[in-house]
This record gives sequence, C-alpha cells and structure tokens, in this order.
Amino acid sequence: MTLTREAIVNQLENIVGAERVITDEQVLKENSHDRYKKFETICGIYSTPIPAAVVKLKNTKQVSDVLKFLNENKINTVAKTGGTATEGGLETIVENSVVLDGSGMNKIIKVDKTNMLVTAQCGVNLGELEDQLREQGFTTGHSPQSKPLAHMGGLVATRSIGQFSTLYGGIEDMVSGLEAVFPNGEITRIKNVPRRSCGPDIRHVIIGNEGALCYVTEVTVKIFKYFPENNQLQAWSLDNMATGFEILREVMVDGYRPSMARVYDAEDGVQHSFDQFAPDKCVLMFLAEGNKNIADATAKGIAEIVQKYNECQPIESKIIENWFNHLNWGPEKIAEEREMIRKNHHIGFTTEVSGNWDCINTIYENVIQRIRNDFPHMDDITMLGGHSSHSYQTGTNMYFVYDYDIVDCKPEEEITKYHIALNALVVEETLKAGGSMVHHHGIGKYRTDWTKEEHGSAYYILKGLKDHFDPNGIMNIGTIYPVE
Amino acid sequence: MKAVVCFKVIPDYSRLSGEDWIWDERNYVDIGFVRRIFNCFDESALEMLLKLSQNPEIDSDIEIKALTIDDEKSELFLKHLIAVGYDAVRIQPDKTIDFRFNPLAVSNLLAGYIKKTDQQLVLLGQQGGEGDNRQTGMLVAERLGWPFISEVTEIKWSETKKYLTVTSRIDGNTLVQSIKLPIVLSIGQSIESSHLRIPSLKQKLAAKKKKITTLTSLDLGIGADIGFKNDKTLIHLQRPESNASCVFLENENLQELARSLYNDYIKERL
Amino acid sequence: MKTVVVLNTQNPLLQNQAGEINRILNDLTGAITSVELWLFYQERKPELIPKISPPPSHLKLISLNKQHSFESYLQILALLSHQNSIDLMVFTSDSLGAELATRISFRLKGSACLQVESCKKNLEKLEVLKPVYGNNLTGKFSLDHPPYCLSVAKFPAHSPEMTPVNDLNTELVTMDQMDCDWIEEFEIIPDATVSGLIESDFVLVVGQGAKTKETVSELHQLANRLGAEFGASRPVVMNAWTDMNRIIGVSGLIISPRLSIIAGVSGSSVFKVGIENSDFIIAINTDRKAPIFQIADVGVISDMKVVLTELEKVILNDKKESNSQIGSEG
Repeated sequence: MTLTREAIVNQLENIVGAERVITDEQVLKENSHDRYKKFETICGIYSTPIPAAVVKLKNTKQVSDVLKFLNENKINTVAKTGGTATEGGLETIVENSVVLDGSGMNKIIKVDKTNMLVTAQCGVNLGELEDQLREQGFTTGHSPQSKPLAHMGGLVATRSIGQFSTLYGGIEDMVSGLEAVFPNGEITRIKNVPRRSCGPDIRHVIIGNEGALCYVTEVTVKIFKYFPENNQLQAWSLDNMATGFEILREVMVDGYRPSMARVYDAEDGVQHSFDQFAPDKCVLMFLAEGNKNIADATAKGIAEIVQKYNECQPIESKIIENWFNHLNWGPEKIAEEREMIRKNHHIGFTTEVSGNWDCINTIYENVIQRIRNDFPHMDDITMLGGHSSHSYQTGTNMYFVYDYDIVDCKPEEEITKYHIALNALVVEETLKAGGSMVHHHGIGKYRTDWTKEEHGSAYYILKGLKDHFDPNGIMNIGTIYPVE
Repeated sequence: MKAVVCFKVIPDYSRLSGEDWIWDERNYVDIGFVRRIFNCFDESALEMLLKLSQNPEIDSDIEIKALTIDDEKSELFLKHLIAVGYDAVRIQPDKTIDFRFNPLAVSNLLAGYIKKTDQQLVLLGQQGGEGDNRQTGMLVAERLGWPFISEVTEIKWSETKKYLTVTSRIDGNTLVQSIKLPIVLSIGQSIESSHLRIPSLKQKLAAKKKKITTLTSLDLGIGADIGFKNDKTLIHLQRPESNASCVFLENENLQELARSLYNDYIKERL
Repeated sequence: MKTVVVLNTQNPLLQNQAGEINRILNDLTGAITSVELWLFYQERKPELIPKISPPPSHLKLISLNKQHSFESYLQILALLSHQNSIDLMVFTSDSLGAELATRISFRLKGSACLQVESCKKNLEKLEVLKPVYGNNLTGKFSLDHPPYCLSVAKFPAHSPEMTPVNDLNTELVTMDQMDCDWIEEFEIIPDATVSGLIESDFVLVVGQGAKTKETVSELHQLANRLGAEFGASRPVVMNAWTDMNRIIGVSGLIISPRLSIIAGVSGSSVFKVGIENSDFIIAINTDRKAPIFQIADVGVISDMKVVLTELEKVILNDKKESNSQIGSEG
C-alpha cells in the first residue's frame, strides 16, 4: 500500500524531527533535478516529479532509520550531497520520492599523517578539505572541475575522477575504507588496510553505485605529500589528434606518470582561447608533479618524447598555467553561466567516454563524423569538439563537448531535441568501436538504454548486486539499471 | 545607412593577480600570456548594432562594420565578427606611435576612416584597454563636428522609423532621446546587450572565406601629421597601495561568530 | 596658474562634486594664483553655491536656455577662456565634466586628462595621477601645455558647505545660444529608487556569492531591516538581480560609509575602488584568497547568507533589549 505525500512527511518527521524534513516548494523543485536538465530548470520549468520531502541527515544512524522506513514502504529515494551531478543521477523520476541530503554531515573526522589517510563524512566539501590539507603540506590528489562545490559522498558514488588522475588515480584508487548504509538499514564499515586478499574487493560494490545500491556516509581516502613548487607544466601545439593520442600512449607506456596529460582538438581549444596562441591547432599539455627527482625526470622524459614529433611546437607554459588556474567551477562561474543560458538560449554539454589505445582515435573521428552527418540540427551547433584528459597504461578517455543555440523549442523539450540525441550518437559510435560509454560521469538516467550493451554478459554480475541489495527497487529508480 | 563600431580587444585583466603586473623600463606591461577578450563596453556596442541592423521591421539596408586599430593578432576576433554578420576592418597601428594613452591619435585614425567611408552612425565602448581614457568617443565627435551621447544603454528605431531612439544614463537618471543622424554614441552598461551572440559552426565556416579589410594611416590619407601628437606623456606606472592587515574571525558555531562580530566590531559603529 | 572651476547647478551631486574638486585644488596650493568659479544654471539663478577652496575671487553665473545644446557650453567656455587667458580649468567627475574637459581642450589646443586622482605642478609642467589598465595600475602623466583641462576622479571627499552667492564678486553672463536641432524629442525618467548610498553610514554590499536573484532580494530586505543601505557589485546588477543605480565600483558609486559589510564579493580592482575608503570593512566570502580581504579590516570565511542571518538576529535582539531597557528606566 503506497503512502500519501503527507503520510511520508509525517513519518519522516517522527524519525528525524520536523526541522530536518524540508517541504518548501522551491527547495523541493531544486532537489528534483541535477545539471542534466540545466536548461529547463534555469527557465523555471521543473518537468521531473517534485519529491515529497528533502531530509537533511545528521548522522549514520538517521540514514539507517530513514532508509529502513523507505524500504519497508517501497518509497523511491535519491542520495545527494554536493549536487553537481551531470547525468540525471539526482532526478526524482517517480512521484513522492524522498531526497536524502547528506551535505550536513560535513565533519572532517581525522587526518592521519602517519598512515597518510584522511577520513571525512559524506557531506565534506572537497575544495575545503583540499585547502585544509594543502595548508599542512598534503593533498588528496583529487581535483575534478566541480571541486569547489562537490562533496565526498557524491564523489565516491559516481566513481569520479580529477584533473591530476594520471598520477594520483581516480577515486577508486584513492579510497581506503568506507562506511555505507544499505536499504534494509544495515550499516557496513570497510576498514582501512593497504591491501588484502580476503575475498573480492567489496569497496567496489559501493564506489560507483550512484545511489542505486547504498548510501555512502563516510569515506577515508589516501593523502599525498604536496610539492607544488616542483610542478612543471609543458605544452605544445600540433596538427592532429591522432598524433596526440600516439604521444600520450608513448608517455604512458614508457612509464611516465605526469599528473595531467591532455590533448585538445582545435574546436574545443577555441572555447579555452587556445586559438589565440595556437590557431587551428590541437594542444597537448603535461604537468609533472611530485618530489623533485620525479618531477624533473618526468618533465625531461616527456619533452624528449614530444620533441621527436616534428609537428609539435612549444607553447609558453605561462599561457597554459594562467588558463589552468581559472578552470574550476566556482559559484560566480555557475551564476554567470545561468544568465548566459537564460538570456541567449545558448547552452553547452559534454559526453565523455573511454577506449583502449587501438580504438580511441577511431572513436574520436567516428563520433564527430556521425554527429556532423546524422544530427538533424547541426545548424544550431556553435561548437563541436573534444579532448582527452585521463590516460592509462592501456588507453585514455575522450571528452566530447558541444554547444548549441536552442531554437524553436520549449524548455522542457530541449533535452529530447538536442542533449539526449547528441548523447546517443556519441554512445552508439563509442560502443561500436569497442570503447566504454561513460568514463567518469556515471551512467545516471540517460545512458541506461545501453547499460546492458556496455556490460555484455557481465551485466549478470551487476544485476545480481541490485537484486540482492535493493530487492524492493527503492534506491534511485532509473539510475544505472534501466527501468523495465 | 552606414554604421561602424570601433572596438578594442584587451587582455582579460580578471585572470591576473598582483604578481603578474610587471612592467619594463619603457613602462610596457607584458601580459601577453593571458587570453584576450572583447572590451566589455565594446562588446555591448557590437551586439547593439547587430540587433539594430537585423530588425525585421526596417526596410533599408544598414551596412555594418566593425573596426579596430590593432595588429594581426586581432584577426581571430575580426573573423568572429564576420561570422556574426559584420564586415571587418583593421587599421594597422603605426609602430612609431604609442596609442595606449593617446586618444587624440586613436580618434584621428578613427575620424579619418569615418569621413573617408561616409559612416553615419558610430558606436564605441566608453572606456577600456590600457589607457581607460574615456576620451576617444568625444574626440571622434569633436573631429567630425558631430553630436555625441555618452553612457548609452540601448538603441532602437523610433516608432516612425525616422529617428534613432537612444537610451542613456545621466546624473543617475535615465534619458531617452529621439535623434537624427549622424551621431557618435559612447556605450556604457547595457543589460540588454551585455554579451555578443555566438556564431554557429556554419557561420564560422562561411566567415573563413571572407576577407578582412586592412588599412594603414596612409590609406586613410593621414600622414605622420600633427593629429597624432599626444597632449600628455607617461612618466611612470605604479601599483595602487593595498593593505594586508585583515583580522580573520574563525568559529564553527556561526551564532557565536555573529555575536562576537557584532560585539567587537559592529556595535560601536552603528 | 589662473584657474577656473566649472560647475553645473543642475547636478544633484553638486556638493560632492565640489568636494572632489577641492581635493585636487588642494594638491595645487602654491601653484594657483587665482580661482574663478563659472557656474552654469537654468531658469532660476542659484542663491547658494558650494564653498570652493581656495575661495574664488570671482563668480560668473552663466544662464543656459532650456533647449540649449551641448555646443552652447563649449562655445561659451571657449569664448570666456580666450577673453581671460586661463591656465587651468577644473571640471566635475561626471560625464558632463569629462566631455567638457576633453572637447574644450581640443578646441583651445590645450591638454586634457580625465579621472585625475591627484596632481602637482612640477617646474613648468602639470603632473597628474590617473587610473590605467582597468584600475589595476596608476599612471603618472605630465600634461604638455596649458590650458590644462582636468576632469577630477570620483572620490568620497568631504562635501563643503553651501555659501550665499551674494558673498562673491559676481557677474551674470548671458549669451546667444544654439538650439539643438539633432534632438527630436527627449524624456528624463528618474530612477525608481533614489540612492541614499552616497550619504549612508552603514552599507551592505552583495556580490555574486549570493548566487540567485532571490537571495539578493532577501538580503536587500535584511539590509532595510538593519537600517543599512544596499549596494551590489557590477555582475549582480548585470544579471538584473538588483537596480543599476546600486553598483559600487568604478562604473558606479564610490562611497565611504563608516561601516560596510561586503558579502560574496571577490573584490576585483574595479570594485575595490568603490568601497576601499570606508572607515571599517567587514568582508564575508567562502574563498580565503579573495582579493576583497586586502581591503577588509575583518574577514569571515563562511556562507554569507548564514552569517548575515545570524548577524541580523544578534543586531535586532540587541536593539530590542536596549529599547526595552530605555522603556523600563523611563
């Protein structure tokens, strides 16, 4: 028997206290969506069902009590902390969902300098954590563009990655231990050990679950010594992305681990003003970081590799440094973006994928070609390009970016006419070429049509987790797992 | 009708911090590593004229030009302007003249072009760039003997389409005037036209094939004449003074923080 | 130097403008041999005028026709300057002053400079300081030759008192004036809210850290409840989150309240100049490295909305208590 909205609110108030259950209409509207529906929400349209309540959680016990209640009553719930998700993961797509907001659980519990670990609750802001650590000479090494706004819970739940991942790894490499609460109220704590062989690595059930299996309440990540004085940024212009991929591969395969390794195509470069310094060229850049010996050797080794390629011309590092220091999303940038979108009906999105070395250039070329040929509204597109920003021993990612004017289109129709359509073309070409349809943003709710294709026969394992941990299907309906 | 926007491309000063402001013995500041952007007031002027010229209710064709005094580095921006609908003109600055703090020289070139090409409507951003002189528009008007309106926020055709309706700010109020051409307008803060529109890929591609008109002062019939002489000389540059003695209040309990903020610092000053 | 100060009685900020001019005249003490005040007016002759220092030896009251054109100002000034061989003409900091200074200098073949922050006579040349490079630097210039035509910088200067016209050696000037033929019609729309920002002792200035129009609105109301005037940084106004006449900074108002609270403003050079002369500045921002803290006396690194809400409670509570105490003592 389904509870009414009022009944849900009442029961929640009994569990956590009325002051922690928010039913203010504007707050509920803001909690029904994330950055995927940027356009319609900026225009004041909220086409996603408005949740019944937002619960501001105080501690793990509350998370457990609330989840148990929601599970027993088969009420859909969305886990939220910083709210910077871009794939619809935070959308409350069924009526009377409940948003569980952990942003108030914002204590940094312990900085352990001997074991090089920091423990933080799910609502800790990464930017603030990072600033505090840097003052003490440490860094998490995790620096996604959303750093000023994102929180630890969401960063773990989406399997996020940061700008310096090529050295420090993605969140999955950084997590030591975790605490998470499951729908039946079970509170599980994974201890901090350097490595073990005690059955499969169960942290990976939690990292990347996008709120579809459990609620992350606490995270312990590694910390690293921070040597910004040793940073060396090098950049070159070059003619082709294919060459760029080749160089990235050589750098990785030779064993160098710059913290940042990127190649931008000319189109994407324009929005970063690279065309002012390297017109109609691709831009390749590397950041060597770490203790002096390593940073020096890395910078030297990379320069030796790049110099073998005649098409590479050096770009003054001060230019790229200045650009890089202004890359992150602070509140002013978000506010400015809103006004541009609202006034000019002009918007931009990204779809990022990954692939092994032997197919990444094919993915790049095929995606661009497919969009140019098959997207019916190419006339509205003002920018289409991409860059690679996370490289590995075996391959790299590809971040496609596209901007467009929204023409003859109601706000709530924008995602169908443009965003979903473009997304689909990128995903199709990537899967065809043998890549993965999502590198680090999470599947969210808009790539679920391809979840089974993405995983193939291994979907059996993924599905098994859902069947076991969330038998009632209350955890973020529509995320990762397609709605049958 | 011929109309021209005189614009400038400048370094994005907002991306610079204190240590970046270094100058040499010739008082030249090297900030070539920062991206360049349209001067914000010029950007408003460019968007305003586009809106005016693309008004479907007007029959007559308005020829719109975008003009800058700059070297080849500005061609990227000129191509962008071609893509959104302008004809682009670049005047190569004479290397012997320091235009930075010399609106007399700048206005001399601009007036020369305007006269030679029979422009009737001239828009410029009210200030910007190294000099921030605020004088260029006025001097252009003076040289041409034309009327001038400053702090313009909006322009549109009047009801009868015979006049231009110009909205501007004066003495803290809004002034709306219907005026006859020719005229020089200095553009201030415009909320309506705060940003220049973005061209589509198709428009950018088409722009690649179009040419930018490049001129020198000789082409305009202006030799190394007295019109370029500055009425002032730069002696030196200096940083404005700043004080770094801020006391930071820290307290996780914001209620307590607010209380101490009030008791210690605010109460006595209210 | 024979000096002339040019003022326009139509301007509501006349006293402030006189204060700004006095500041510059003060820089030139010793170099000025005499001062004349030329005052433009329309319709009724003014009875009171701001006190200029050093005191003018002579006052010219110049009447303007109602439908006068800008050319009239220039023609009258040019004629009067020729008749009197003037060395230095000092104009107001507004756009009229800037335009007059520039255009009269051109016609008289003098040297003009706007936004003059300070000046001094150095041997035969006049040296001035003015902002350059988007207010990030100051430039020192030497003006080539007289007549020097300066429009002074906006500055929260001490406003001089008003003094009766009759105290001065006065001359009435009436001249034939051109009518304006290029203006078909015009309308002045006064701003909806008269800004008390310039006079206020207590100001709350809000920046993009407010994030939404609603928050800006709420904080405006909070300011009202506290008896503070409300100002905003340029981006907030350009987002249409509050009125144009509330901009603090180079493109708006330059004020010096006894107490200012600056919340959610990063503090760019163009903003700082608008408030840095405030006696006491409290800055609230989530970014410790924000440049605003360079001019702040006290800094709070926190969410501005929360801090201001708590602060309001404390202030209003205190007011309530002190009111009730007064009541109980009576």
